[in-house]
Amino acid sequence: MRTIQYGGAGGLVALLGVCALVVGTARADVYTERPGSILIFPKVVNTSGAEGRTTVIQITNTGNMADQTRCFYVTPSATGCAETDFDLFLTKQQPTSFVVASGRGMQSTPGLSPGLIPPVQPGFIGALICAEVGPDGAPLNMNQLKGEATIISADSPDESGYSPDQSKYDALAVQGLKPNNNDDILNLDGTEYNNCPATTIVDFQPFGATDPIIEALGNGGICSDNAAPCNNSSQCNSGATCDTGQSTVASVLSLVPCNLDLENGIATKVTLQVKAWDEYEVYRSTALSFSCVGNIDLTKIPQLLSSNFLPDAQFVTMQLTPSVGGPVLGVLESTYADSVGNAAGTAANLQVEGAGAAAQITVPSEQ
Amino acid sequence: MVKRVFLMTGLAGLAASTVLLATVGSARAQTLPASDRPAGLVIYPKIVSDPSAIFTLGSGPRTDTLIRLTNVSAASVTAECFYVDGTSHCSIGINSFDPVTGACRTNSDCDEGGTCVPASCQTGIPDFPLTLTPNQTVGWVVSTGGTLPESAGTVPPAPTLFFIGELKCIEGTFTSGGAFEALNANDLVGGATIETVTSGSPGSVDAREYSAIGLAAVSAPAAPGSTGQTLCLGETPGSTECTVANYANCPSTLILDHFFDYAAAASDTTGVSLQTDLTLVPCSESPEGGGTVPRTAVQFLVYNEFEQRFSTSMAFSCFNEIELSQIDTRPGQEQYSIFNENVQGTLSGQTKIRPVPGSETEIGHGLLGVAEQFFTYNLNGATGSAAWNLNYLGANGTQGDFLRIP
Repeated sequence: MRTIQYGGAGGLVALLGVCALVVGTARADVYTERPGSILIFPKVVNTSGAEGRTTVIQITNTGNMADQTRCFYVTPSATGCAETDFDLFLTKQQPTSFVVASGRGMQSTPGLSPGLIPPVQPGFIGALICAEVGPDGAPLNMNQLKGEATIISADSPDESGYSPDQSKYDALAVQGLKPNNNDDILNLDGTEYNNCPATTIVDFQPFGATDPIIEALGNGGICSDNAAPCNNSSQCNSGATCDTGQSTVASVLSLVPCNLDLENGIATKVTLQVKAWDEYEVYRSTALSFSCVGNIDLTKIPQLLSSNFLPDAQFVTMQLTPSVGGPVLGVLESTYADSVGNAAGTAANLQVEGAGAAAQITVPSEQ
Repeated sequence: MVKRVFLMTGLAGLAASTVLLATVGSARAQTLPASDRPAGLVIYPKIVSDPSAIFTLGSGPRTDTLIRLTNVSAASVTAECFYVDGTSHCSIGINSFDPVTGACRTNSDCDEGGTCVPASCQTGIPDFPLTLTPNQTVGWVVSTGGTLPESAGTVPPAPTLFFIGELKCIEGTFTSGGAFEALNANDLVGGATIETVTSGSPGSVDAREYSAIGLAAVSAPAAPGSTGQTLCLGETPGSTECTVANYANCPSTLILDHFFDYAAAASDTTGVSLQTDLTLVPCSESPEGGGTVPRTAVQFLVYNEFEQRFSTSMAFSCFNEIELSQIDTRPGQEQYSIFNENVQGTLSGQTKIRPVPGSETEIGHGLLGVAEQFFTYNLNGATGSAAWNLNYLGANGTQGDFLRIP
């Protein structure tokens, strides 16, 4: 009797071990620093007019086998979420690049042509998603893709509005797992592809706080008599003072949901619960919502302004957890400006934690 | 007989499940660096502090770095931070730009008779402890340091008028004897923003930002001894200290996607020049100086958009920040470099960077780094810059790295 009980216990433990193995493999392996099978560029812009900007995309095949990808520009539309797709073919180790404003013709740029890349329309604000596919166009997991996006001035250097300012971020790479069932539904669920993250962490300087480096070394103020830019009163006319504290940091959070129905153009509606703390432990909460892709100007969110935290607070950390619409991926772009509007932008990838709920990207069939 | 079969089946199942669970556990551990996940060791490969613009005698743009460090957990966290000095100095000790320490960037910064000697990492900078409250982000400007909110700690100012180097922060605790002990915990994330500004009219602002690189703790390091504590970044078979990894490995290959360097002709008044700088730091270090500093050979494989491959190499120790086109050429001859658009004929490239491992068992040759690209506008000399993190491939299974902290 005792022997049978031991055997039964051992078998039960074995069964539990297998269950743990199956349940415990959900991983949020979306990386900014490793090649993957799906590349996501959460912020792609092509705006015109004063301070217009466009985006230069770099995509590289890091492997020793040729790699074919299907890429999708995604942007909100009147009916939901519009997509424009194109194919890229990269030989082994081949890098390629293109400007979204002009795309890439078959012979327009030196190098092996990766294929015809259409331009995006003026005013485009959206995302770019690329997935590895096989020769038949069906999704495939090779984990060879990496990419970067550089946001630059849309003006040519010979135009009066030109600025060399730029910001750059790494594309997010979702690791593919084997086997891939090769259908048009990309399951980011820990079995076909890894999960998107459960929580996104954003560190930023709230709007209304000054930038300490501009205040210390640059034009943190204006002269009291003639509004000339200044760092200290010695740069102003005699008798005038330099009114400092006028630098700003403004941030925009660009987000794309991991649930995307590109076949039917249905926009995923996302709501994120936001918890934010300043460096003095002051806590604030709010919710953010967007549809299709989100470009959330943090200067327009009252709960996240510096006036809603302690006066001396210069840094806020924010945790975003989806409550509706599933997990998201994103980047943060910040603009540092002095007292007279000289400005520079930076882009930063976000930190993530945990494995989010399963998500799906449904792509139009190649057939 | 039947009873024995049941018994053996049960024991086999117990053993198998143990192996499966162990496999699952180790597979889920982060084995490579990541800048987008909390970690127990965060590294900022490039810190620059030049608030006085010493190489232009104060007339040019001033540069400084804003550091952010965040505790993402719901509990307080203690960290110990170390600046590592990567500043080169003139061989004759001083120069007209820096009469105190003779900081330099190239030989041309040194007075006659002097050469610009790279940093040796032999002179340590005192570390500083921080205690972060739950979900707290702290930040400081490198040149000035300062006292942080909520008694988080006091950060010393940069040690020299011109400082370039790296910053490392390690999560841990202080023992009853006052020694810092690194822990198996992963609650830190960070970032750095390097800003270059001018004041007055018209003024200017340029900024670039990268995320600090995190190496996740995977096991508790051995307790500190009389000479400090050794943190094992990956395992080193045959080592007396690091047969078991305490932190993720440094990668065997770093991948840099970049545009090839391009210099617009000086006569092209509206031309834009492009330059990429690469900063590499060793994973094996003694941040407070005095330890063995590995000299690491680095191989570069460069691919252009025609799938053509080129290669070059260099070697360095302690800290290296270099323009890509100067890896294989001398200053002034960048147009002959394999990193230059003039040679490659295409706009974009992929460079795979491989530190050559050695056979040592008490030091490693792993590297980490960041990249920066600069657009310079000929018309007015305005510069726009951006920074980004490199990609990683593979872990060196034969040699890990050693971080020795006091």
